[in-house]
Amino acid sequence: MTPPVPRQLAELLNAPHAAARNGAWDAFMGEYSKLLLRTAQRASSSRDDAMDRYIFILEQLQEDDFRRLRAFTADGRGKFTTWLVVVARRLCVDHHRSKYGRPQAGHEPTGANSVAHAARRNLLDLIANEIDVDGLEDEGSLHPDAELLSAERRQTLTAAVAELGLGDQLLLTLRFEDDISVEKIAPMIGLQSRFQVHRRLRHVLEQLRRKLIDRGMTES
Amino acid sequence: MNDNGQQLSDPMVFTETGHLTPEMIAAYLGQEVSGEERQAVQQHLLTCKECRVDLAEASELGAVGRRVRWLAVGLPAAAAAVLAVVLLGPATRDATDDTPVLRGEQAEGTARFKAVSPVDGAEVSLDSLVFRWRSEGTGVHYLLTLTDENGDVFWTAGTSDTSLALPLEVGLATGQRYFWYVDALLEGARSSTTGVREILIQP
Repeated sequence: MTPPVPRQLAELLNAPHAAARNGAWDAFMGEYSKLLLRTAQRASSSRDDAMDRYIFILEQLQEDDFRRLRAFTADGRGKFTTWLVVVARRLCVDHHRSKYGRPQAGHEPTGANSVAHAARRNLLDLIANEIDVDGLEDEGSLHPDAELLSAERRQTLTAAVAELGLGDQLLLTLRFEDDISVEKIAPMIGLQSRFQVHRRLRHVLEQLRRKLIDRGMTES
Repeated sequence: MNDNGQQLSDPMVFTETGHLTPEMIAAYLGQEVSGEERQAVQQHLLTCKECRVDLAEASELGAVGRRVRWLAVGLPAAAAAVLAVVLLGPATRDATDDTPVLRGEQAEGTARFKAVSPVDGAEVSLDSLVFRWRSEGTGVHYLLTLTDENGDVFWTAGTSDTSLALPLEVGLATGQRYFWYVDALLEGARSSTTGVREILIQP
């Protein structure tokens, strides 16, 4: 079912004349200014910066007869507050870029490299922490070149992770690469509570452990 | 192709710059996407940190709006949620199944048990604040969460008992509203919740 357009938004977009529009904007701000301000604050390092971004968000939302806000009705799915936070956050990013420029290409890993990078950086830590990979031993454990062995393990782990379902890969990324708490992850992957995230994580890690053993690693 | 080398075929999912549209993030969080869209979103999120940050922010801040609205709507919305679960029917989950079963998780998460005191909306005194709820059986672990008006977690504690007193060191502000709920971790990988209750700390 298509969620209804919030009353304050509908009144704003349908205001017949300038006076009505001003009143509707005030009502809209009465409802959503706190959310917009919080979004600006979270994207900023100082109070002045936050206020700059907040003002920028308001200007951009009003631009071209509320063009951005009118876009919400184009799809109609999802909650308006969720949509508004994403729009406001992206305006904060635009504001930052207009002030400081875009980051140089190559600073952020992208695409498949990102996955591999993340895997190299975090997933071995994850395994070590969660299923005690240090306690796992394979045929190469006596190999003098520990670095090579470590690289092989990482490769094995990356391959094992790639076999997981998308949702489980995302869960691992959110938890171990982005370091997001299980409580916050729950709604991001459609689970209702932190308990469910914990259970899902345990299940995924157990799967990974089995996959590693299948690939020749054995528990010591 | 976007920055991450992905093929962009659906303008409802991706913006011109190759990121998820705000509509799609909102729909994804609201679980109003098709299986195909969910796959496309998750595939993109795996490689796009920027969209993951958007998702995290929208999930957290958007939830503030949702929670306040839910509390304002009150019982009818809660009843509708329970009714939806009843109509959808109980869902079971195969522990060996590695594909997310969202309906089952939602249904299981919506199971309710009774919060006894303080009653919803009660004005309470700080020196006698004890949270109580009905038992969900033996061997059950409970997690109490107390949040402020913005939905930010203020205090959380686990117990196997059916009551918890607020420690003195948890400094709640008088005259302020807080919200609390208890999650029960049951046997067989199930959970239930009291749902959110509001309290006002007496000045």
